[in-house]
Amino acid sequence: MKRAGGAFAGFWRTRRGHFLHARRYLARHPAQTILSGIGVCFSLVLLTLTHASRRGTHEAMMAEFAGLGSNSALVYVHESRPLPRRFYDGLEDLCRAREWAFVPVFEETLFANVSGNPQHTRALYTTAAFLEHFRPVRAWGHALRSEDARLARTMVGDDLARRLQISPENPYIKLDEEWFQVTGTVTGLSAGGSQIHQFLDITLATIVTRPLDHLIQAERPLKFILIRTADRGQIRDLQRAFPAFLEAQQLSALRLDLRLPLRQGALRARSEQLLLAHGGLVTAVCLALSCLGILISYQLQVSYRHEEFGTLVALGASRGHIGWNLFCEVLLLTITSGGSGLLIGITLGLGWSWWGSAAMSIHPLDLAQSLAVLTSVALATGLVPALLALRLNPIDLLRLNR
Amino acid sequence: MTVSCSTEPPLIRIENLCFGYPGHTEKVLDGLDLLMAPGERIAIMGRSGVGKSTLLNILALLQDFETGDFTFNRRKVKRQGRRQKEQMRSAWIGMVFQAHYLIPYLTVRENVDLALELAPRRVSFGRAEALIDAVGLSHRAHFRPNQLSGGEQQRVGLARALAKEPLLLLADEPTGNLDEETGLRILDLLLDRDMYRGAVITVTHQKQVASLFTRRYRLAKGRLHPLAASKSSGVTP
Repeated sequence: MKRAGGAFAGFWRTRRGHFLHARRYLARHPAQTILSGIGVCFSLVLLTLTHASRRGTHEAMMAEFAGLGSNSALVYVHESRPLPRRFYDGLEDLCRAREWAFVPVFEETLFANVSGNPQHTRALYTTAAFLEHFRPVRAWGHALRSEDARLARTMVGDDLARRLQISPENPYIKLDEEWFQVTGTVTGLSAGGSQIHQFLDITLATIVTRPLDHLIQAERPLKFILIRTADRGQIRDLQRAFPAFLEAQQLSALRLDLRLPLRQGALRARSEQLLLAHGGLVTAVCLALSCLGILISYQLQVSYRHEEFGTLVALGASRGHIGWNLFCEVLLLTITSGGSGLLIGITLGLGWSWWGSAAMSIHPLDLAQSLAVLTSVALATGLVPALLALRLNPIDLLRLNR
Repeated sequence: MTVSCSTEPPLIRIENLCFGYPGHTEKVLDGLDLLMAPGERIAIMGRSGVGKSTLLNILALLQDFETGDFTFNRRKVKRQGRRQKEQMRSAWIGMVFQAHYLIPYLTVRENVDLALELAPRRVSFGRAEALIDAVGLSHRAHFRPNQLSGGEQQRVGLARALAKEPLLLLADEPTGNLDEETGLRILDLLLDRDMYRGAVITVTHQKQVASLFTRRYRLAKGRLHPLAASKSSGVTP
């Protein structure tokens, strides 16, 4: 630690002049600095909010689940159309009969499934623990051929399999333009998986493909039922259907969870990883484009600042010195812009959490991670103009000065 | 032709120096000789394209030469690596150009300080203040270059070049962009021994400027040819 501190002090002693020069340059070209740095700033806002949203949602959901007793139920409706009134009536009866507490959890998806649509079965990617608990019954199994590796694999409910006349000899179904190979069938309320299960690591859950019928016919004691909907009307229906629940939970409204606005078909891994990857991907693209912008800007600057560099050479500066100047400028620009983005992100996250309904949580570990990403990107971005400066020809630079 | 008017160890000794650009059979500098003592002031004249800038680049240790011997402050230039030459240039050589080429986003004071920041040996930052005062711009120390006149800008450029107290000042047409009166004021400063005691080599097209120097050369056919000493010279080198 002491050695690292000493190394940093030594670095600062030798490079302090470059940073001071960089600070002066950036401060005296405010428009250029702001335009160059705004992309990085935006990327860091996005990254901070993604982290805050992910962690906040996770914490909020876990808090809800922690409060559930053995008689609790979460209702998960795998449905995108408004459900008939009888569903809510039936659900209420069911909850009352089985003495379930009722905690709806909502997740808005862009492409939720429609009841009766074979696309239901695409939800059947799940964890091993989940499958083990429910022990889904496979009517038959079928090994994928190597040439089918690109096909999406799925399992379907036995009713659906009968309707579609799926058999081991004819295991393929086509949904829209996408082919699936059916690898097995499941019965009744047996296991399904979805990103929300995996995100919460729930092993006692189910998917309700035909909600009311399956709930009523189920022999299996349910602990969790999750409601998943793409329809805001459903939420209003639920609010109307369960005023007592809302009152008991001291909720003014049900929560619409926007955590996973992803195409279900694209989800193949754990939701947390996916969400992070999604946010990370958007941020990475933004950051990459922003840095590209900075690089293009500095490549141009290396051309139009020939006069300045020539003057520095005349004053005794080496190409390395000019390279360090540019490196420090880009480093300072990126770190300052990113740091501002981080602060804006924190402020927005806290404000959103305070004033809005979104669950946001700012965690030091996330901030440290963002800072690490920012520093790495800044170092990499700064290197390019520095290397460009090393290729400058001092005689050409001075020739311009004559 | 080697010319010397001092018994001190020379600052510059150039013997039989040759340089030609690749692809050209004719040498730009062909057997050039020069001997220069510390503190001497020399003016070099010559037509455009005769090699004056090339000679300045070689003197500034920016351009390598082909053959010949070049000793700067007792160091053989040919034996120095790139880094050593950069250090020598940074420590011992100052440059002034026809245009002032001040850094536009720095103030007068910061422009002069920049030269001190780049100097490898420690020079008091008080010197910047003294030089700005000497060139008569202390009241404009916090102005940006675009707020100064052409003559004032050139005076700042001169102060900046002299800030690190170089052994040799190379001036390329230092008054080329200025009117006669302003140009003469700049030359007075340049040749003022109280302000700067080091050596000066200036390249100029103006006979009037060259006449202020006691040693004057014409660069032609790759060599320096001495011109007769000026009778009107009021400046003692």
